[in-house]
Amino acid sequence: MAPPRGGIQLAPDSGDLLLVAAGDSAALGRLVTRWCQPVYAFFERTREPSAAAEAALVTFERLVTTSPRYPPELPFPSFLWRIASKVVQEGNPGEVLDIPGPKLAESPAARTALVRSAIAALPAAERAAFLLMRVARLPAAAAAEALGASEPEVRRRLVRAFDFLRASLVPLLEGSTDSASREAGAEAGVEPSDDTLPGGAP
Amino acid sequence: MTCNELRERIVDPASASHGGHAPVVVHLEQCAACRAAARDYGALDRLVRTEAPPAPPVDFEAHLRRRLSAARRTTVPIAWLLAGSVAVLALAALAAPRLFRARTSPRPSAPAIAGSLATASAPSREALPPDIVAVRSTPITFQTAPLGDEEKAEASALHDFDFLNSFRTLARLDALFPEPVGPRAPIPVPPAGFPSRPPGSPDAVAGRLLDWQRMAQAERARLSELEQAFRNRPEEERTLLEDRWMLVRGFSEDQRAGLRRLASRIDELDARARDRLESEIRLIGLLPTAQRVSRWRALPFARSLTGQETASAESLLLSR
Repeated sequence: MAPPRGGIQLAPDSGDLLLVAAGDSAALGRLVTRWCQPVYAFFERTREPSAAAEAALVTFERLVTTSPRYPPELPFPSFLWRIASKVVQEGNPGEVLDIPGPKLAESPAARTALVRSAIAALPAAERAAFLLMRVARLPAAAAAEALGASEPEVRRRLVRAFDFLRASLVPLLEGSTDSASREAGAEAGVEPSDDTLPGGAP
Repeated sequence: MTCNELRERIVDPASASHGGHAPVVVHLEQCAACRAAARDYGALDRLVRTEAPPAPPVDFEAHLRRRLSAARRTTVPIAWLLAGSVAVLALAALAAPRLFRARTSPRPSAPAIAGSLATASAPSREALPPDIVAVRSTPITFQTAPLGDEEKAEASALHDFDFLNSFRTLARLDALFPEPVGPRAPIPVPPAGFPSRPPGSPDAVAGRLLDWQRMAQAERARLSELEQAFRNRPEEERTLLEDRWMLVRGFSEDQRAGLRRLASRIDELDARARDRLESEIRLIGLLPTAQRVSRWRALPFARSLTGQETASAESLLLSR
């Protein structure tokens, strides 16, 4: 098939969003099919499932209503995550739940609730940066575009978010870091030396 | 490398390779606080990840569509609301009993999403939209007298209403359609028949009868007259017009209005100018599609047209 006039080949998502702007119902169905899960997962780390579904619905609702203003040269994910980031920043930071240690030890649901409450308690900018990069797994450049900030600023927010969570989730981190050192280093592209292991070299 | 720089590097795996690993390793070897931070960051990352990706509610899309539909209903432009109000007031006197009956059985409101996503009854995607948006802007059906058998037969035998409203225009735009070179070959009829033909399927007939029932008496009479005028034309000409309709049936209201105005502009020409224009347009029709518009716009006649007339003519030239 010949490329469209002007040589621009729109990605399927971008093309579908333009169709949505023109009232194409099937295109909306395709976008929802492809993006419903990641958007829902993005919110599900900060709130219980029904509230996460509500936030995801709000995101898609805004996606549709703002679709007439979508600039085709902007990658669709940037447009979508920009909306999702705004939605996730709208909520005021909550309180980190105070759950007794024994309860946390025996109940996965309690641990999940504590993690959610800690992420929800992050300041809005840090919360959005954390979710974009560590849950939606966006590269720093894409997260920066979605947040309208520079890459270094997004990384600084992410560090602040990690430090806040370290303080909030002490009960879960204690005892969970024994095997973390190597993985943390590997995740960061670093092969840690033996003395980065807890307690130094064996 | 400072502690802050190191932490910004280790929270973003993609940036870890920028500037090499050596400074990171050196810093970690020398800084116990950053080693602890690196351990905790990794542990936090694992805490945040879920074993299985969380799945959204199965009826997510249905909820979304319902909300979008509700939002559209509440953002109807003021002008439409005013126009609708006037129409409703005018008809209310006739339809009051039915309206009051309707109020006793209000449409259920959409359920709140919180805590009820999985259990809320979701309409299928194909579910009919509410009455107020069902058919263009005039969907409100008030009690009208049922159609008799004779009326049903009359309504079912009519050609497509849009076609009936357009065939006279199509007959005046010979120049813009391929010329039948004589002796004329019979125009092939599509396997499924011309789309302008009277409704054939039970669904189409039912829709036609509903349209007819909703229509004012004067409009019914006008369409019946058009049908008669069409049937009075020779069969060969009828087929030709139905064939032309296939090219323009997808046109918007605006484009069809442009065609009507264009036909009038052509009618205003004297016979000689009209013949010359027809010849020029037929020549344009032989050109590759990409060249037709520029040649058309170069015609003195085209330069005298309004934007609407020009756009409609170009749409037709490009559809051939």
